[in-house]
Amino acid sequence: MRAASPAAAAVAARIGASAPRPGGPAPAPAAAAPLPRPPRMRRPVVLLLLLPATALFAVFFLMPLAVLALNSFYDYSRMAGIIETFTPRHYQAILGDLYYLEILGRTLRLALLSALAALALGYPIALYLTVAPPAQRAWIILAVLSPLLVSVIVRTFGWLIILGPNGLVDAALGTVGLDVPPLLHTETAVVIGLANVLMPFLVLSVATSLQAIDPAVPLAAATLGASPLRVFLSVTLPLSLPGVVSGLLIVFSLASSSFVTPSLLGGANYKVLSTMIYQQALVLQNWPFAAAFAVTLVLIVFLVLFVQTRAIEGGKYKVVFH
Amino acid sequence: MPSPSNGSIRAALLLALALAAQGPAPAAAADHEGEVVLAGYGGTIEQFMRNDIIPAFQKKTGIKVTLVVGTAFTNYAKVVAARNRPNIDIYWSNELTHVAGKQQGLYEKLDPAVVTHLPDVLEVARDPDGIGVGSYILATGIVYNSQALKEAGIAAPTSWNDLWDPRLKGKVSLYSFGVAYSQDLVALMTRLAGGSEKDARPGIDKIKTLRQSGNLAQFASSPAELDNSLVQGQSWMSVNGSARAYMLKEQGAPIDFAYPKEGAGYFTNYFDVVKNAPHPKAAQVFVDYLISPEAQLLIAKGTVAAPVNRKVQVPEALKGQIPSPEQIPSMVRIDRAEMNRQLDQWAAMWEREIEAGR
Repeated sequence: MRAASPAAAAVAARIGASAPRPGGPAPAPAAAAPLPRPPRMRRPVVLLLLLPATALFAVFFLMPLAVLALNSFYDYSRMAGIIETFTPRHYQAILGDLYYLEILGRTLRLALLSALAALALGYPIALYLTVAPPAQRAWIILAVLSPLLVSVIVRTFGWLIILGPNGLVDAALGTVGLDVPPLLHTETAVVIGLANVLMPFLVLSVATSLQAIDPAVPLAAATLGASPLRVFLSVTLPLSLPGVVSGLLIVFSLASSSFVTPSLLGGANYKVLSTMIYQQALVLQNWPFAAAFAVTLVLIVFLVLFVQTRAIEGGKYKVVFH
Repeated sequence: MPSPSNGSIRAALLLALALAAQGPAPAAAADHEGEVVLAGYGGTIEQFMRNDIIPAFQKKTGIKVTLVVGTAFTNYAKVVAARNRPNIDIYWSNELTHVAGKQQGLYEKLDPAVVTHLPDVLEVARDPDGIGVGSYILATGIVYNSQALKEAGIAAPTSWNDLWDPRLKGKVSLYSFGVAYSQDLVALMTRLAGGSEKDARPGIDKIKTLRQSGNLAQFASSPAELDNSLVQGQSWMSVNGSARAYMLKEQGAPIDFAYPKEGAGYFTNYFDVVKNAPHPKAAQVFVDYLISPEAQLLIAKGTVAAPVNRKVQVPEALKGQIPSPEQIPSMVRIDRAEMNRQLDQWAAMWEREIEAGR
């Protein structure tokens, strides 16, 4: 989860930035005119307000991460335990071994597929959320959040029954005469399970972006003769990109570090980075090697964050991100 | 925030905590010994510990027992993490963490003056160095769905080689390497192929043929998963401890257990007193109680395993479900020290060549 913190912070900032505007539709400023700046807070006040979050972040994220990174360079022997010398051999093992690289690739693919699945399922919901009457909205949000209200074990066991042999999916396909092998213990099952639990993050993130769109802008496009599809593709979708990107990033980072869902729905054969961390840390007690896997996971998420930021800076729609 | 990554967070936190606890610390002074902390197992074991054994011990000695519930591995991580300032008195280890911890000097010798029941403990369940003592004895053997085998016209297994029966295509399941029974299977198959724990290659190659034959098609990462697969008939034969098989049978499932004629594996868990434990005296007193006939009977019933104390009067109903005094000596004792030394390689070979099926 710590890998997800920057992304989570980013979305939190966005959600905060676009809280529902009080007093009905605000007078729409012309798109080009600069927004009036809020009065500047004085620097000491800003620092004071940031202090708790910074301290929390330092103590519970940066420090453990540093300890983890340091540990990943220690040596280990089953006879002597952890040996506090410097060795890059755990990283060499990860990068020089096809078996581990395959696991790395599988983790990335799983995270990407889960993010895309969550987007495909979640975007329409987010879109509907912005036009739904306020009375409905609360219920939709509750429904969207519901996967997060159930314990991960219980929810995953639910999927186990639905996707397993003689389960709901199996039986339904059987009635229509399709005899396909059960979904359980396949990558599809893991993606379904992860998309289910992580979709709320994407929906909320996209909905926040969509709500921040000045209603006058799509209206203006329609007035100028654009079809609804054209309005969506040229105005709404590009303007929602910040939410889409941060939503994808949150889902990606949470999916890449997930443990329970891949191990239960993917089966013993479906090994991802978190499985390796568990195996090395607990079964084999090789904490330095486990730390190296963990650091690799964190680095991957940071790399994705970095690439995404660069892509935005150079992209066609960079203006919507500012 | 609820998330599917709780496990990985916990593992990471454990690491961080472990490292934080590495600093030098003065050994906690043995202030009051009115309590003792036992790191043990969850599930059915937790139930009889909390309902029967702990209250009985408390009534007898006035010592309060705190039970820390986990698996052998998560509890071992706690013992290792807090090695400079232990907060656990007794760790209920498995054979591997018993040996690993001994090698790293994590456990204290049992005091024969306090642990007076030690002479009544079967020779096989005693540690040669007097560090820790076995808690119960089970067999690692073949567990099978008797109904499915009967319907398919296959006789009940009597040998390890019955797993290779060509009629069992796709119907053999095994634990993944994280569960001890599969680690033991590597040693047992190595012995069967004429090798020793020094080099598990013959055993790995043998299990690989089981995979290549198409028989071995499923891996389970938890006991519940394996039970499920066998009871529902997704797999018909597997390798597991005798206790779980007989528990399922007792519940009415068509499950049975076979001691292979080449020798079932000897499987035990140990009570280890942690070195520099906060309550060293109470720990020894509690271990003594845990191997007393009274507690051993409760443990044997609760775990469906043979008691280590030879003075226990085993009830008739339990006799058919646990290794008998005649069977115990014929069970294969795995060289745990050598196995512990090699475990990383065993894991790597198992994962690549057997699970990944290369």
